Amino acid sequence: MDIITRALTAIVLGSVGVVVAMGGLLWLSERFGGRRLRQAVRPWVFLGPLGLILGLLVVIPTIRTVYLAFMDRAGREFVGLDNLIWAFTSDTALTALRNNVLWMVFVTGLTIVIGMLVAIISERVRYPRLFRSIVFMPMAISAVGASVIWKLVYTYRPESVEQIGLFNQVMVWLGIEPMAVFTMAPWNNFFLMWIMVWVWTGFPTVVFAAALRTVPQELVEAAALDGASQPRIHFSVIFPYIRSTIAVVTIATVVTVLKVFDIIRVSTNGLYDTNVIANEMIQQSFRLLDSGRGSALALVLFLIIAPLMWLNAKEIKAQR
Amino acid sequence: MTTRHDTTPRTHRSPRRSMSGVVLGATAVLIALVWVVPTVGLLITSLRTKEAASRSGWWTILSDFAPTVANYVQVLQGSTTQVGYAQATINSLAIAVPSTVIPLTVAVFAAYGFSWVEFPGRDKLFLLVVALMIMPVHMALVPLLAGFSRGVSIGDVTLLPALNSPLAAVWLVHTAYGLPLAVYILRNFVASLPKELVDAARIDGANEFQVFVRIVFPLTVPAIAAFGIFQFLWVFNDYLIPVIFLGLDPATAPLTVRLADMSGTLGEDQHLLAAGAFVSMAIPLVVFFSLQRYFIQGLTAGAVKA
Repeated sequence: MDIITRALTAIVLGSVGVVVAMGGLLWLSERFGGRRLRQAVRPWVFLGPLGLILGLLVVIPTIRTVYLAFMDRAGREFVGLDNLIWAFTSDTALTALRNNVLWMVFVTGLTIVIGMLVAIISERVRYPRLFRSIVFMPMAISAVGASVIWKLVYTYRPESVEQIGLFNQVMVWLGIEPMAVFTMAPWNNFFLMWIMVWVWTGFPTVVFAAALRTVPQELVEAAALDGASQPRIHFSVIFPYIRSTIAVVTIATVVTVLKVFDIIRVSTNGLYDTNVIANEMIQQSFRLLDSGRGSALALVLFLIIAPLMWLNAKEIKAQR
Repeated sequence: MTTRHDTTPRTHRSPRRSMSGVVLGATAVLIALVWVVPTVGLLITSLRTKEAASRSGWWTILSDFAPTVANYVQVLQGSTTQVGYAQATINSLAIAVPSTVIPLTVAVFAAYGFSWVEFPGRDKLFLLVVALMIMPVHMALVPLLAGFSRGVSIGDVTLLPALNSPLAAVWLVHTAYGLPLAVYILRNFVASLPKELVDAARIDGANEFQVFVRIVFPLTVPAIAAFGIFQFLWVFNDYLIPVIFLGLDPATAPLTVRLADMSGTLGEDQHLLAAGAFVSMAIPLVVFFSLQRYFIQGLTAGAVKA
């Protein structure tokens, strides 16, 4: 019972406390002072907490990490570009970078393509919403949970023994020797990527399904009357119409894939050449206690993501 | 204007549809199977005994299945050396609830400020906040952890004391990195409310507090639900932030950390791992199935033209 009381107290203090504090501040600020004063204070009351939190917890630490990327492992002595050079030349870092590129290409490609396929097909089968729900369901569970599910599927047992993982059982049924997929570099990466595809495809699916519904029927029928085939209709009329949605979903997917961490950490912890930037960054910063190299890797990750952030903001602005 | 996405032109319906219909149907079934079967397999495994699970695959249950909930009991209770999943569930909730309520509160205020309070640079500031949406938390982990555990000081001057509560640290980090999306979703929603409502209330003499609480806030509930559910699931399922900020303390470990740990140490005990995984998925799946509509709304908010 003690644990529950403590947890409940924490929850109440953390949530209700903040609501009461901010509400109270607003009430007070509107109660007192002349109109001029209240008008000047008002933006601060509504936006102050936002600015404070983002400034203290996002902006400033990010700047500090950039600074740390040029310092030694303890963050005390300036080492110039040493960490960045390590990030682009060492075996560990290069393997991680290579893997991130593979992940980016394959996971993004597969999830977007399968997601669009499911979105299109779902409208023509008996139970569209059930079908999409099935594909979408893995989005509700943690990446750790998904990794556990697929670890079971991929489990290896020697040929002489009965298989307990579905993948190797299918291999055996097909007359192929069972494989310990996680140890087979470089193919192991693709088995790991599949886990993320399985989890993430639901996102493009539901967003594309909603976007497809906004395509005017007249446009489609006009193209059909002109004699266009199904694929042609899709590629020349429908996809361009929802171009912006496809762009935003792709960017969101690429950014999420670049940050992948849980799946690798739980399955292989980066062994057998499966490492990725996020995992190596955590290793360097928190296990090997080298904040210089860790920060350099974080910086590299950020530099790859930054142009995507800019593109995304542009798309969102264009949509408004 | 019809909105159903059906590109089959009316003149081509019957003969073409039946052939491609079969192919489409088969593809759909294949995809659905690949997406459902692994989870079903894990569920069955969680109900098997240790001997059964290590002896044969779960698909053999058709011939002999003696389901047991012993794995769940064992996993929920934990042992003298391992924290149970029941406690881990409470820990997950203790993390997820405030990490949802706090950013929602701050974002609702900010959304109102961006929509109904005039001040210079308002739109530029909003774009800046939105741009922060894809900022990876990795860029701040090291300084944040250092700042929380040692406090922030310049030279001998202490600007901020160390934060004594790792749990509060987790709340703050999740809040900070959930805020840009929250502000984006809520602000778009609040700004679309009819201006006449707000103006009428102001003319009637209501001060901003009353306009905010009595008029704008109740109307914002759908957007709050959409983001709230999205954020709750995101935080509940997160692994990186608790593992960094709560460290290896088993007493405060949420479900994700507990499960990852078990996967590393007891990887061979699939029956227990499966039960643990399902306990960790229970609440998110319930939330997902009952509130799917809102979750999807939260996701599509930024991606589809309104």
